[in-house]
Amino acid sequence: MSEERMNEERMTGDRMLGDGIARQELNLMFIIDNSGSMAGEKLGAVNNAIRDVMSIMPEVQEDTSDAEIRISALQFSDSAKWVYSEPKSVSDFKWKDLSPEGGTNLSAAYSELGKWLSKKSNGGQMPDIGGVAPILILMTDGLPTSPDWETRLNELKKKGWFRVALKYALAVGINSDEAMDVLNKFTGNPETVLKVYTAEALRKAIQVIAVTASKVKSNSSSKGTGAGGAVVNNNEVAVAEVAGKLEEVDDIEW
Amino acid sequence: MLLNKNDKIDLGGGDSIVVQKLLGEGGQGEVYLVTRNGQPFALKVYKDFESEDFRYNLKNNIDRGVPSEDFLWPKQLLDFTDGHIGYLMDLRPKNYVSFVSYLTGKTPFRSRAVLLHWCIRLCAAFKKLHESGYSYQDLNDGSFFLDPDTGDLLICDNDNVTADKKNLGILGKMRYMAPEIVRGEQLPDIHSDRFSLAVILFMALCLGNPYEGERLKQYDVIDEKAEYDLYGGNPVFTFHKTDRSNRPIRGYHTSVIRRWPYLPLYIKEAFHRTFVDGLADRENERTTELEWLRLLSAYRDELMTCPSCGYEMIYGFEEKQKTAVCPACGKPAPAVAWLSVGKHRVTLEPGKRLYAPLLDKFSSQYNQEIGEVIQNKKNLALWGIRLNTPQDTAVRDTAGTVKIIPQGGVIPIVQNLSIKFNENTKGEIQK
Repeated sequence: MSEERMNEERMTGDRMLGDGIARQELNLMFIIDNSGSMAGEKLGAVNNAIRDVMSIMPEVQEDTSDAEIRISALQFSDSAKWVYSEPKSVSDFKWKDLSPEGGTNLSAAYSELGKWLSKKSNGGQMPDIGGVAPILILMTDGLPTSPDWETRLNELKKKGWFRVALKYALAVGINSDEAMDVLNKFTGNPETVLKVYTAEALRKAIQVIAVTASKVKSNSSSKGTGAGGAVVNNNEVAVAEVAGKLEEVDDIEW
Repeated sequence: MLLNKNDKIDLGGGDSIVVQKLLGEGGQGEVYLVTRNGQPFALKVYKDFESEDFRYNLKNNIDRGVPSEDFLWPKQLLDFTDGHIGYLMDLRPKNYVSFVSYLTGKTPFRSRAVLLHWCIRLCAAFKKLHESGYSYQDLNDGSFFLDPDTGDLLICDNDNVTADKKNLGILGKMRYMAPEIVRGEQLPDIHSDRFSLAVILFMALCLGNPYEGERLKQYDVIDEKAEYDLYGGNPVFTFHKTDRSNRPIRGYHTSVIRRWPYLPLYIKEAFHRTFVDGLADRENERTTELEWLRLLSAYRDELMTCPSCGYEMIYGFEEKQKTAVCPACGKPAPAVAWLSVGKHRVTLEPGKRLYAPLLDKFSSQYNQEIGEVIQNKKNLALWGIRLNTPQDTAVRDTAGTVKIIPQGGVIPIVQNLSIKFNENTKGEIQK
C-alpha cells in the first residue's frame, strides 16, 4: 500500500476536522544581480548554489512545525522581475537557471522588493497573520547603473518587514569602496556584508547563509543564564552561526 | 563536519567505533552513524567545548541510567583527545516518525485511540523522569517521535536533562517555554516542564498553539517584542473562559477551532487550569502527569467510533449528554453499551481495549491491556469482553442467573449484566 493511501485510511474522520497546525511564515528571499557582468562562473555559481539550497531545505522544513518556509527570488538587470509571482513553499519552489543580460538597475530591485514586503491585504506578499522576520540575501558584482538607488532604499527602509529582516549582501569580486558602501547601506550592518572572490566561495556562502539562517529562525532553543529573559534576537544568533560556518571557507572576507 | 567516514575512535579496553556517515546536525552538535563490533549506534558529538559541569551532568545521567524505556538515553560518554565530548546511544528504529510530521498533517496516527495511547505514554514517561528527580528543560516539537500505528513513543534530545532546580544554560524554545522562563524570572524546572508538557498535549489533541489567536493580528511581524508579549509578558489562553480577546482566528487556526469543541469537559478544564490559573501559581495549578494520566485514560475509555466515517468521538459522560451526531461527518452517533466499574466508564465496541486501572484504581499501568472487546465471527451482532486477568469472573443477568466465566473466557455484552471481577471490584454493563 502506498504511504499516501495508508495515511488516507488513518484517522479518516479526524482529518475532516483539519489536517495540520497553523504555522508562521518565514520568508527567504534571494535578490540576484543577473546583469551582463555576472555572466559565466558567477551566475553559474548562483544557479548551482540555489539548487543545493533547495536540496537541503526539505530537511530544514521537516524539523519544525513552528514555521513554514516560503522562498522567493528577484532577478535584476535592466529591470527587476520576480521568478515566481508569489513566495513558494519548499516543495513548490523549482529553480530555473538565470541568464545574464543588461545593466544593474538596483533601483528597480528595491522598488519591487518594497512592493513585495507588504501584507497580502495591502497588495504585497507578506502574510496578514503570523509572519516572522524574513531573510534577504542580495548578491551583486558591481555598482548600480541606476542613479536613484539610494532614494529607493530609503523608501524600502520605511517598510517594517525590511527593518526587521535579517539582511545579507554578497559582494562578488568587488573591490571598490564605493560599491561596498552600496551594500553596507542595504544591510545596515557591515558584519553581514561578505566579499567573495571565487565562484566556489559564492556558492558556499549562499548555501550556508540560506540554510543556517532558515534553521536558526525556524527552529532553535534559547540558551543563556535566564537573566533578562529568554527572548533572543534570532537574527543575531543566525549571524553568529553563519560566521562560525564560513570561518574556514577561503576567499570570503568580512 | 567534526568527523569523517572511516574515522576510528578508540574507546579503551580494546574497544573502538568506526564512523559510517553523518545522520544529522543540530544547534548543539552532529549525529553520526557508527559501528561498534559490527553493531550500529548513533554518536552525538558536541560542536562547542562544553563546560565541565555539562560533561559531569551527562556522565551522571549515563551512570544513573534511563528513567523509562521511552527515552533514547545516552549510553556511553566519549572524550575526544582535542577536548570535544560526545556520547553513544541507540539508533532510532525505522518505525518512528517525528512529532513534527504528525503536527503538519503528513503522518496521522492510525486512530484517535492510538494518539491518546501516545499521549498517555508521554505523561507516564515524564512522571518517571520527574520522580527520578530530573527535569527535561527543553520540551519542544523536535523532542518526540511516534509510531503512528501503535502509539509508541520515543523521547530524544535528552542532553539537557538535569537534576531538578539545576540548569546548564538551556532555556527552551519559544512557543513551548513557560512564561516565567520567557520573562527571565525562573530557570527551567519540573514546573516549567509541566507547562510545556501541556502545550505538547494541546498541540497533539487540537493541532494548535494554546496562546495563538486574534492577538497575532496586533503585530505586523512576529518579532522579539511580539514573542515576549504573546508567550511571556501577557499570554492569553485562546479558550480562556472569560477573556475572549485571543480566540483562534477563523480561516487560519482551522484545526484547533474544529477540534477543541469535541474534547471532553475534563480535558478542557485541565488545559484551562494550566494555561490560565497555572500562569500565576506555577507550583499548584499546572495539571500534573498523574492527573493527565487519569484524564487521558478516561478520554480514551469513552471513545466511540462513527459507523459512517470512522471518527472517534466521545460518549459525553461528563457532559451528561450523549454525543448525538458525529462531529466529523454529521451522521447519527452510534448506539453503544458501556461498562461501569466504580467511577470508570468504558464504551464497548469491537476492538476496544481495557486497561489495568479499570479494575485496580491504584494501578499506574495505564497502558497495560487487561482485555479487549471482540465480535463473534459467526454472528457479528454478538459482542463480548475477553479478559486476560488471572482469576475467574462471575456474571449475573437480570433474571438472576449466575455464571462463572473462567480465566480467558468471554463475558457477553448484555444490558444490565452485573460482573464481579473479584471480591472488591464489581461492574455493570449499561446502555
